[in-house]
Amino acid sequence: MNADLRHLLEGIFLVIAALLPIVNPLGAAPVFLALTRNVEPTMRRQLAWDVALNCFVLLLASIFIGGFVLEFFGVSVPVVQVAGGLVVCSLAWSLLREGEIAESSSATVASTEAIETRAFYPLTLPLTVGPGSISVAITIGANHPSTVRSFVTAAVSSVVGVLIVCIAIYACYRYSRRLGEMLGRNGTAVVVRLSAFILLCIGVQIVWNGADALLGISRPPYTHGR
Amino acid sequence: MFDAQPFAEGVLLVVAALLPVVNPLGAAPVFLAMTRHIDSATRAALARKVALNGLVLLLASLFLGNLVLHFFGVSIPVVQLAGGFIVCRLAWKLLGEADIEATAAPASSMDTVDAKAFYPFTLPLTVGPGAISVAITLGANFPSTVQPFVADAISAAAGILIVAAAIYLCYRHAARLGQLLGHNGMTVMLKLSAFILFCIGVQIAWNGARTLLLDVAASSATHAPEQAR
Repeated sequence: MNADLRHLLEGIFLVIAALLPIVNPLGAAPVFLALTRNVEPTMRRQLAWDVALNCFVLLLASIFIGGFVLEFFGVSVPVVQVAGGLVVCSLAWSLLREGEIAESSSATVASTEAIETRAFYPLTLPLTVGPGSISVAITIGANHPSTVRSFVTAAVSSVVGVLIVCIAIYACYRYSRRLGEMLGRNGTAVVVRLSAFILLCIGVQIVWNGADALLGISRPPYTHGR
Repeated sequence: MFDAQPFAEGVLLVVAALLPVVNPLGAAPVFLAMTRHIDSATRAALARKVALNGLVLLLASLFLGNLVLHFFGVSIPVVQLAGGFIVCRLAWKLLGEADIEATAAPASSMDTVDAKAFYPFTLPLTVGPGAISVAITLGANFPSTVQPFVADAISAAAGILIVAAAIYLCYRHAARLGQLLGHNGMTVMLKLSAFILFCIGVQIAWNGARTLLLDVAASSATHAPEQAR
C-alpha cells in the first residue's frame, strides 16, 4: 500500500512536471486576454472554465488513446510536432496581424455563440494545449506498465496530475483581466506583441523539434504506435 | 574598487556588438517614411518613445532574455528564424505600401501612433530579432559571481544607454534627411530601405536556420560511425 501510494505521488509529480512547463498557462494568459478583449468579464470567466474543461478532456484523451489514434491514422509523433508547430505559427502570425486590424476597425462585441465556438479552436487547441503538450501527453501514455495494478496507479496519477494542470489553466485565465488592468491599454498592446513574437518562436521550436527528430540519422528511426 | 579600464572595455564591447545590428542610421529612412503623415512634434515624441522602448527591451533581453527563453523552452537560433520572418513581413508590407499611398493617406492621430510605438516601430524595426539575440548572448556571458557581475552589468547598461541615445538622435533628425531628399527621393529611399530590410530579415532567418541545420549535421556525423559498426 505504501509503495503504491509512493508510486501514485511520483506519477502525479511526473505528469505535472512534464506538462505544466509546456502548457504554460501563465505565459498563455496575455494571449488569452488579447483574443478575448472584446468579451465582457462574465463571459470571459465562462470561457476560462470551458477552455480548462476542454483541456482536461484533450490531455486525458491524448494520454490514454493518443497512441492508438496516431497508429490508426499512421502518423508519428514528430510529424504531429511539425504539423502542430505550423498551426501554432499560424495563430501567432494572425495575432500579430490582429492588432493592426483592431486599430483601424471599431471593436465589435462578439456574440455569445461566436465566442463559444472559439473556445475549442483557437483558445484550447493550439493556444493552451498545443502540439508540444499533446506529444508530451502521448509520450506519458506510451510508458504505461502492463500489470493491472500498476496500470491503475498510473491512470489515477495521470488523471490527478492533469486535473491540477487544468486548475492552473483556469486560475491563470480567470484572473488574466487583472493583468490587463495592471498593464493599461498600451501596456497590454506591448505584452500582446511580445507574446505573439514568443508564440511564433515556440511554434518554430516545436516544428524544429519534430523536424530534428525526422532528419536526425543518429537516432533510431521512429516506429509509430511505439 | 572602481576600475575605469574594464568598465570602458565593457561599454565599448556592448556598443560595438549592438550598434551595427540595431543600426539606427539605416532604420531612420524607414522610420521617416512610416511617419510621413505625422507632424514633426509628434514624430519627435515618437522618436523619444521608441528610443525608450528600445532601451527597456534591450536591457530586458540582456538581463532576463535567457530566463524567458528557458521558461518558454525556446533556443536562440529559433528566435532568429522566427524573428527573421517577422522582419521580412514588415519589409514586404513596406515594399507594397507606396502603391496604396496615393489613395489612402490617413492623418494618424497621436493615439494610434502611441499604439504603434512598440509594434512595429520598436520591435521589428529598431530592435529586431538580430539585436535581441545579440543582447541575450551578451547577457549569457556575464560572470556568475557577484562583484564582477555588478561591474559588467553597469558597463552593459551604460553601453545600451549610448545605443538608445543614438536611436533617439537618428530618428529625431530623420526629417532633415527627408528635406534633403525631396518627395521622389524619399520614395526611392524607402523602397531601397525596404528591400534591404527584407534582405536583413532573410539573413537573420538564415543565420538561425544554418545553426539548426549544422547541429543536425554535426550530431549525425558523430553518430554515423557508431551506426556503421
